[in-house]
Amino acid sequence: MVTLQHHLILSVALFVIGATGVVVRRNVLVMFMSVEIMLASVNVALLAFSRWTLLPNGQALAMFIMAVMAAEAAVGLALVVAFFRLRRTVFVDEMKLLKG
Amino acid sequence: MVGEMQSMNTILFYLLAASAVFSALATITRRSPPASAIWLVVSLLSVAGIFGMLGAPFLAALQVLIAAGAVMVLFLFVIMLVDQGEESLRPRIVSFGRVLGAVASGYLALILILAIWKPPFVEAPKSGAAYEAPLTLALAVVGRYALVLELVGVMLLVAAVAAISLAKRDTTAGEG
Amino acid sequence: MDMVVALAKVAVIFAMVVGFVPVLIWMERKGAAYIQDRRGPNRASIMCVRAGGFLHSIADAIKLFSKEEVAVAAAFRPAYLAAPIIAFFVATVTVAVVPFSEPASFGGFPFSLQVADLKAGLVYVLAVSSLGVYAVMLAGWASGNKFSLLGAMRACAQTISYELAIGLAALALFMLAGSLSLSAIVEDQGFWPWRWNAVRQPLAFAIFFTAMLAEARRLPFDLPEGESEIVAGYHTEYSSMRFAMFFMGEYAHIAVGSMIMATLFLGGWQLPFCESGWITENFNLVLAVVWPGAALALIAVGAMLAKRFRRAYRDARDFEPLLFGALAAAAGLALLAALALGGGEEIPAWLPAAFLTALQTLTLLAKTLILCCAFIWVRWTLPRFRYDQLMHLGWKVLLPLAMINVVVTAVAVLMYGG
Repeated sequence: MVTLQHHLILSVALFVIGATGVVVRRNVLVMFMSVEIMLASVNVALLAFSRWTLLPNGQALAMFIMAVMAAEAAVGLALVVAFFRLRRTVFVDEMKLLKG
Repeated sequence: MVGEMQSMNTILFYLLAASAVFSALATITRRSPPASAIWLVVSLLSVAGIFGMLGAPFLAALQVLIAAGAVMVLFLFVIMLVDQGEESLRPRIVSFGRVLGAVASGYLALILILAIWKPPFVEAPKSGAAYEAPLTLALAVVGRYALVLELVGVMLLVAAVAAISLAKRDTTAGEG
Repeated sequence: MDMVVALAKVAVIFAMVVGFVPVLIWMERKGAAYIQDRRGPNRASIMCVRAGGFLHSIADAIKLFSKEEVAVAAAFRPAYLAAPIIAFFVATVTVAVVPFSEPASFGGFPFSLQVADLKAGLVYVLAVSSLGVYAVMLAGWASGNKFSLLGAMRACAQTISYELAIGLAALALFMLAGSLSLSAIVEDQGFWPWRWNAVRQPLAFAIFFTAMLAEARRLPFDLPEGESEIVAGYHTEYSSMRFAMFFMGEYAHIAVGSMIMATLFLGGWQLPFCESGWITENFNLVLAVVWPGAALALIAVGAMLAKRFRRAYRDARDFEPLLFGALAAAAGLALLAALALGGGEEIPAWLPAAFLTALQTLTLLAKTLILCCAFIWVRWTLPRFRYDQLMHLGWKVLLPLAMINVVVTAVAVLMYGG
């Protein structure tokens, strides 16, 4: 039988994988994708709680999170494209204009 | 008959969960960004399947439509635009980053799981058709979360304007 | 038992969609030919049967199977192999929510020819069609060919622009029917043709039709495959079977798009002017009219065909009208014989429901064919849009019109209570 804890463990697993991706990878696009994984994991947790308490609040919040996900991807990718035009790199190690 | 459905549910959940976790792992470990993106699409589709199993078919369809169908298409566009070829997986600053990363994430996972592994371990309560209907979600969104809805609308507009103005080429007179 | 019925439904509906593709290819060729004032292909034959050029589809299939597979130094082989499969998959999976008939009960056993009546059926259709972008993008990128990539980028931009117009046009329908499930939308339309959504929402119909043309990448939105410009666009590097999958996928997309439009706007399985309850109640009368009528019609068609027999070619091809005429007349006579033999017997309980299901399925298929004819007609009439004209149309014309439509519909629903 599938309990609430199963879904929460899935959410934790995805969250941790996403966090690892953000920290370990140096390509800003892959970091963004890891953030997407984390957002998906949060949605899973929200929907699981919503299902077990039979309230629609979790579903509504998950919908808003999806909207935020889309907006964040749009703005973030626009920033990446703008920076690429400037310095022709997508590796965060080389994005150090403010350093020093 | 009920027993069959139960075990089918369990099998389906494990299948979808394994697929989601496996493709997420594949996403962060591929060398070429387009391959990462494709694996992320697979992961998001598996998560959409889990949404469907959690009694939210509308959100499952929305997840496919928005996350897998729009956001990831945008990602693939930009990846192909800035394709620098394959990159080495080894992070540039920390030298034994792979081992350190695995240990740190394992520790994080452990504390989080210990926090949630508490009784009661119950099955999902019976949900009527009312829970799965988009109508319930709609009433909650425009009723209780009306302000959030408006704010999210404004935020999307701001994001669209910001993205367009950030990515526009600088075509002032006198410059290339 | 449920499982067996569900699997049978899946098989039948899948076969219907896949079988639609050769018919559509034939219609395209003949339609193109008659619009261009010529006859179209009519030579391929098996012995003496030419069937008006229908066998060219089989000849096509044989040709595509036997072509050489050109090995390509692909940029990313898994994506190169998967792209045609995705294209075909997306088109076929959309049919899972299309209702082919009303829910009827076969002696207490509820049955409706619809694979899955999802509560969020309309959003499912939009979601699955948005996955079609991946087929194009992966094909273009993984081919390792700059022209393919260019074609793929254009195709993606076009597809995602027109997806918005489709979604907003469908939103107006959703407001009218009050539900996202396709069977509810079809039932809401009723059987009077002036209550169908094409009449209640003409603007939404026009927008949806135009956007569906763009989604299917048909002329006049043909730029990604611009046959005279960038070779074959994103499927340049595909040959033989893989190209056949793309080809079939494109026609399946047209067929399924027409099916969705027929369901949403033209009343789906509703037979105009006929209430299905009336048919089941007066089934004796209906059967008494339809059975002899069909028999007589078949005999008449057979006689007409046989009359056209004249020895013009002086070989086996002359006998074709005679062959088909004889078959039709024989079928008609067989029906008459069955009527004479079993005329007085009791009508089995499942017959009205089965008849209704078949009739409604045929109605939906007929409406789909009409819309496919419209697609073909538009293709061979209009010239191709330039890329910036295409984008201008999608964002600056269709999107504002769709939004205005939604607002007006919302006001009307509020005022007149739906």
